[in-house]
Amino acid sequence: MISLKNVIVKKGGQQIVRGASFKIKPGRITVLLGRNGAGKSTVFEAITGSNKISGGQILWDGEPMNRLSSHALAQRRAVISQSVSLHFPLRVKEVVEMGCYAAEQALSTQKKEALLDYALSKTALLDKKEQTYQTLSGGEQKRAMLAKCMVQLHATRRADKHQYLFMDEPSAHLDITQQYKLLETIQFLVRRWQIGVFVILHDINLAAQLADDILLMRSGQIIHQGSPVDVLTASNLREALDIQCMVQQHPVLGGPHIISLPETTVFNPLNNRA
Amino acid sequence: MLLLAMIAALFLGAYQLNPREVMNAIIDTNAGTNRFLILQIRAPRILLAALTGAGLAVSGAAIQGLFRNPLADQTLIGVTSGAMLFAVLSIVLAGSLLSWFSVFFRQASIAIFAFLGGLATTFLVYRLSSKQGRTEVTTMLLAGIAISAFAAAVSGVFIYISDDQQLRDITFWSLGSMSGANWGQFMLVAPIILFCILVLLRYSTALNAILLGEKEASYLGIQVERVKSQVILLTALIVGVCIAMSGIIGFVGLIIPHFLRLIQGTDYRLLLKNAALGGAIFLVVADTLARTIVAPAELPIGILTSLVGAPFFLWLLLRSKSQKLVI
Repeated sequence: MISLKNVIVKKGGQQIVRGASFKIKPGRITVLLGRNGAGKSTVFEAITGSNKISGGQILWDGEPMNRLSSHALAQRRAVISQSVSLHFPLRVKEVVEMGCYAAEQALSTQKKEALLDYALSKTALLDKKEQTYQTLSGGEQKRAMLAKCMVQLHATRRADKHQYLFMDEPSAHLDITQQYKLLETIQFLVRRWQIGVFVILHDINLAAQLADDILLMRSGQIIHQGSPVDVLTASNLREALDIQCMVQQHPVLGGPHIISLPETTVFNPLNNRA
Repeated sequence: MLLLAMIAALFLGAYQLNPREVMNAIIDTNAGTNRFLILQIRAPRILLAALTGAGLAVSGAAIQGLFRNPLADQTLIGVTSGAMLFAVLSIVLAGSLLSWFSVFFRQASIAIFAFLGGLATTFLVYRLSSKQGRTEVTTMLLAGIAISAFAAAVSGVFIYISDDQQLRDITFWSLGSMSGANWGQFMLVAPIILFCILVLLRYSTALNAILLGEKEASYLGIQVERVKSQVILLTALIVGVCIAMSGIIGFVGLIIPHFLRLIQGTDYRLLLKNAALGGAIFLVVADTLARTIVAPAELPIGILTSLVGAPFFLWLLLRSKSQKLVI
């Protein structure tokens, strides 16, 4: 379990994250929702280790994060970032293989090949493994990054340590089919490998369907946290995202289903403030 | 292939030898001039060319990876212009201050000055672009350009006040030549360059990861800042030593890695090893040509590498464009 205790992150003298406390549990999906500029990516960077915290504490399974080396950290978590730009022609399999770099000992060629093929087939990229990364579509590039993370997590797996996967906006620029494919693979990792997932999303309904735990963030603070049913209420969403919405029960999945309405009168007949 | 090129280079030169003469010269201790020519002049020169080529190509490839820019080369970190400035200083000031020293000492002082100048400039560029233990690669690139321009301007001032003989010395030095090679030089330089190449080879996976971005690399457990400072230091060492020994030899660090990328792909684990071999072959061949084309005179090797390198690079560029490959 990763616990954040009263975490403060400053950037240029300004407090971007102002005392965030929450937990990321293994085998569960934690979704962070919030408006642009709420501090989501800053929290994300603090937990993944690319940004230093100015106050509070982050514990990884009880160990303070500042005691973990970047190598030790790479054995406990993998990260899919928003975008990767590559200026040199690398083949898909070469990119995915980089996941192995975090391993304690070099894997045998045979084991490595088997692992690569497994990750590539799980992400439906097996037939593209010899292609250059740049020739892939946006959705395929995201899946290749996921395959790289799968390789990283698997190559560094240990019975006594929990592992986590972090994603900032994984569904951005993906069509709806690609979004579901990506999330399916992630759910597989959570259920089968007991990976803890921390993900920033903008689509509230996607969050409602995917999340075990939801965090709502506003102005650098976590203002609500808990299960989707408890957190995703009309009043909470208005507070966190400044939207007017109706929350219904999803006709098939049973969880909350959010129908959001824009604030402007032009689009919203329910809004009679004008 | 490197071996073949090196053996061929032993035979060729202003004074042509046939294979039997070469064998004789190596085996027979009384072979006189031939033996001296082969063992004391050509052999160290060929080995030095191979080392220089390998060092320049490997460090060029590493710098391109570090800056994540296919157009980057060693000049970007300021080492070349710094070495040039200090070499010019040494040549111009040597005329007045060191005139009572021997020619040998003057030669050595150019080498030492060039080496120190290269390192000092790189250090300055690196410090300028570091803040709180982090080095911004874009800042470094811009700082490198600014410092290089400044160093070039100061060099210009000294070139302006230099006399004809000094001007000639500067020009020839800056065009590069292997002609000064001897065993002493080789023994001095070989351990440094070999050590640097070997350490750079250890960073091949880190350089692969950095291609995806510094953040991505750190997610994979790479200590990006450490890799950056080490690669820059090693590159400055290699290039500083190479320039000190043989002047400025352009294009090796740029075209050899690109040429190899087109053949074998970008994977640095292969690229760096092959760059060492490819660079060595390229420079041995270039140096042999430099000695033979206008024999008994000699072309500066820097002219030759650029003369061959630039059109070749253009050809690569056009070819990859037509095949819709990304360089």
